[in-house]
Amino acid sequence: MGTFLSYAIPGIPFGCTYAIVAVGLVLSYRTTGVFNFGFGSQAFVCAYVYTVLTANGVGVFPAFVISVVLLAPALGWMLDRFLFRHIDPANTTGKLVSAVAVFVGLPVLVGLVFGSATRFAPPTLFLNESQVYFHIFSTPINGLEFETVLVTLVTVLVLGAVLRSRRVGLTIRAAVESPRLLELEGVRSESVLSAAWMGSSLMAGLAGVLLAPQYPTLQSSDFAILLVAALAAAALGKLADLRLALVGGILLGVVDGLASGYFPPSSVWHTGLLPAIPFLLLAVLLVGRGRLRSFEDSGDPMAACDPPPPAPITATRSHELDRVVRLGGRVLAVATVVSVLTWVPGDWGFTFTEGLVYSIIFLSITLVTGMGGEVSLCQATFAGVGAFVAAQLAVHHGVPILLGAVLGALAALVVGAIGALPALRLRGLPLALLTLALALLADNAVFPYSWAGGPAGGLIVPRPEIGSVNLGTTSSKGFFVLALLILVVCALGVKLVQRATIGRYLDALRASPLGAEAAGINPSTAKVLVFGLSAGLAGLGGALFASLQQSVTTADFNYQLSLVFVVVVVTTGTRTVEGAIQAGIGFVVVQQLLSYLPGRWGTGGVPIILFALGSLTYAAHPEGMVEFQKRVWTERADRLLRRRMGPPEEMAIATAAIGGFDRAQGDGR
Amino acid sequence: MDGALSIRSMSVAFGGVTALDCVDLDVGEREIVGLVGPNGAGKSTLVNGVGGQLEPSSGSVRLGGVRLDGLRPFQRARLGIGRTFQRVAVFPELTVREHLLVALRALDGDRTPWLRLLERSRPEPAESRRIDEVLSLVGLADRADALVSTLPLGACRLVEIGRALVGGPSVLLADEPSSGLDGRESATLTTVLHSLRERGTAVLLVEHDLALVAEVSHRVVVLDTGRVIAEGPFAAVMADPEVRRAYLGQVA
Repeated sequence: MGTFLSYAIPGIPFGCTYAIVAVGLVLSYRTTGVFNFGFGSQAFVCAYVYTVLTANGVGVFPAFVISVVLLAPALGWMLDRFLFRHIDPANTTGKLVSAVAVFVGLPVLVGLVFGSATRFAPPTLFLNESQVYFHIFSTPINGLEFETVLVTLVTVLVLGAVLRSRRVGLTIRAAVESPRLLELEGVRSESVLSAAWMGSSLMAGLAGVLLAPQYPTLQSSDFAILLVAALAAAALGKLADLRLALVGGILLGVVDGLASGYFPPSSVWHTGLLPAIPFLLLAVLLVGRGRLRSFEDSGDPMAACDPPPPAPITATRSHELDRVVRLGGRVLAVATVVSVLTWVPGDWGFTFTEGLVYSIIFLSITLVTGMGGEVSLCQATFAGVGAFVAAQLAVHHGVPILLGAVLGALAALVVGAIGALPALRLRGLPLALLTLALALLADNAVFPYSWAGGPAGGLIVPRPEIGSVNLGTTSSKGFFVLALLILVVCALGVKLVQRATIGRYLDALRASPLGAEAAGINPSTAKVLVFGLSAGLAGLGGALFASLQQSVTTADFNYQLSLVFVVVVVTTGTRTVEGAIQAGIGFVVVQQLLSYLPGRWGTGGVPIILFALGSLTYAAHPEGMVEFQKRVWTERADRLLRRRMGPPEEMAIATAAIGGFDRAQGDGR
Repeated sequence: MDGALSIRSMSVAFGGVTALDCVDLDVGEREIVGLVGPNGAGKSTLVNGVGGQLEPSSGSVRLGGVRLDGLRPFQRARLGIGRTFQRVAVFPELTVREHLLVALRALDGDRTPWLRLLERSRPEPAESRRIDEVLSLVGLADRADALVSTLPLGACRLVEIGRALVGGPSVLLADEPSSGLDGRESATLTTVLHSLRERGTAVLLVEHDLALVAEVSHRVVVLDTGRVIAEGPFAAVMADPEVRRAYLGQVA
């Protein structure tokens, strides 16, 4: 019993840190209706500012006021005012993608503004960190731990009271359900939601400032991992119950404490299972808990008043213009290929090759998100499976890398299909969270092993050899051609699937799962198929990526990359094959261009911010920024042409009609 | 075991609320049964229980003698349950023809999902004939290639009916097909229901429009607060004092 308590009690303050974040998550979900991935990043920003201020001689109290009382609500206000307010409450995917963009973008922004110097832990708020205040069952409790527990409890009590109160709590919950309906009752729902955002952001700031002293140095990844761990605690409270979230967080801390106590530090359990406990728990809760499955946002009762969504772009574009646009695209593609093969310098040639490989990985997002209608946050993990299988086979068994890539793709396909099985009844947010849990499980419990992700330094991966030609040594142009061929095959494959019966099934399932199933479509088969194929494509791309880089480490495929992938592809458009290719090329070209900039602007951060900003437009233009611009410009060109060629009025109408007809007749998508 | 659809003692409870209480209901072959009742009587719950959209607390459903209990909606659809929804569940990005094609192929079963993967989504001649037949039945032949997102609500309801009919269901569950339709659209719907009656398609018609029910159904079942309170020919049922109290009393 004594041992048990001595392992369990130190877990409690640690669990309180989970609990704060979990409570913050539940609070922001309940008050704003947005599952705020950005919460971890908001906490990080406030903690960072607090750390910088205290390190520069500002007192703890003024630093706290600036970073938590002022900055945090301001951040929340901005997020609401400039971002989430513009997203329709029923648009689950839009909200999810925007929150992911905030999560990915904010820490990078902080790095850009403040530089990348190491920041050491800031001081605690009001208790002495190293002083032991008292013992519980002979376990010493220091100031940091005591403070964390105290603040957590007070916060939860105050918040619970506010939310339960008739006036404030009820109004906020009504505003979440349907802002427009609340307006009909004479309440300005905008200011209600603004206040809720500011409040929840204040929580994030508070959590951040409490968490920061617990780590030796301040790193955004700690906040990200903590956020995800807290998801499990929040899921225990069904994302609705603050008290259960609190208990869940503390329990998780205790379980962590017990596990690290009982499993010897060198055992497989300690290194593999321990870091994965929160993610395992999250996965189990998501799949197992009945009501969580349906916590998907209820539709806005006022949604029936909305106009129908616009018809797809191909339906409104005239036939000739469609042909011109396609021709233009082809000319550009051919010009790029010819340029790379002739006059483009080597580093840019490498960049374009990398872009082609990314395009293959991004095609997997076209499948799963564009066609399957689900956001997957583990595409980098699938790519990793392909890469590691190919690399291990090449290194240890001498399997040619191209054959290894195919086997790796098959392995990823199997993993994806099996991974889809527990997700069969999940959609939207819970499914996205499950994929995130999967990615984190792989990151923590699978990839670190040397039989999977290779030794600490990574694996050396060969370039392909075709006959006597080694594509690595003779010329990297050979690899470019190879990647191009594989990409073309994959792209054509995806297009075929889009036009095939299964593509129509997916269109139907995406639009109305209810109607599709009543029409006899088996949603489970479709989901397993689309996840499996998507994972296979990602795996193939991952293996090629490893071969291109000639080495692969676990860091190449961590979960953050999956988030970045989603953000990037969503920017250009998930619905079309062209969107994926533009995303792949754009991702690397922007990075390469920015690398010419001096100092911190030249590092990897800026492109991520650009794409994060781009993906924020997803909510307004679900077809993607590029597709949207295409539509705007072709419409403009269309009008110009009509004005020159004939009477505008009738022609425009006729064009619209013909456009719709063409779309229906041809295979035009 | 006579008839197309037989429901035995179906009960559905949502939390503490009993939405359906031991309901028995039969739809015979070639029979159109009107299911009426005030709001909240449990009509849609019954239809969802038959279609598999919700799992009843108890009771059983048979279709032509085959037990449907525990099967998922797509499995029931393949066994011969066609249905429409009170709030239309169509696919805006597909054309009318594609709706029917998707349903026709899906109802065929997915024994070969891998073949579906690369199969062109263009109808075979036999499929085209079947689709055109159903399209002319529901009066959408001239709009076959229009995107459904461009159609008015009335046409969407007809698309749903067409989608449900294309596989040749043993019974059609029509959940308030006339709600939200204007006069002309209602007239088209009535024509469609009449031709279904002539062709001998079994239909369970949930409907608020009593005139429509009177016109097309062979038999009427009245549901009130989860129980069947009357059934029989329309005129006889409407004369029942209990029905007048529970149902017409509210209307008038």
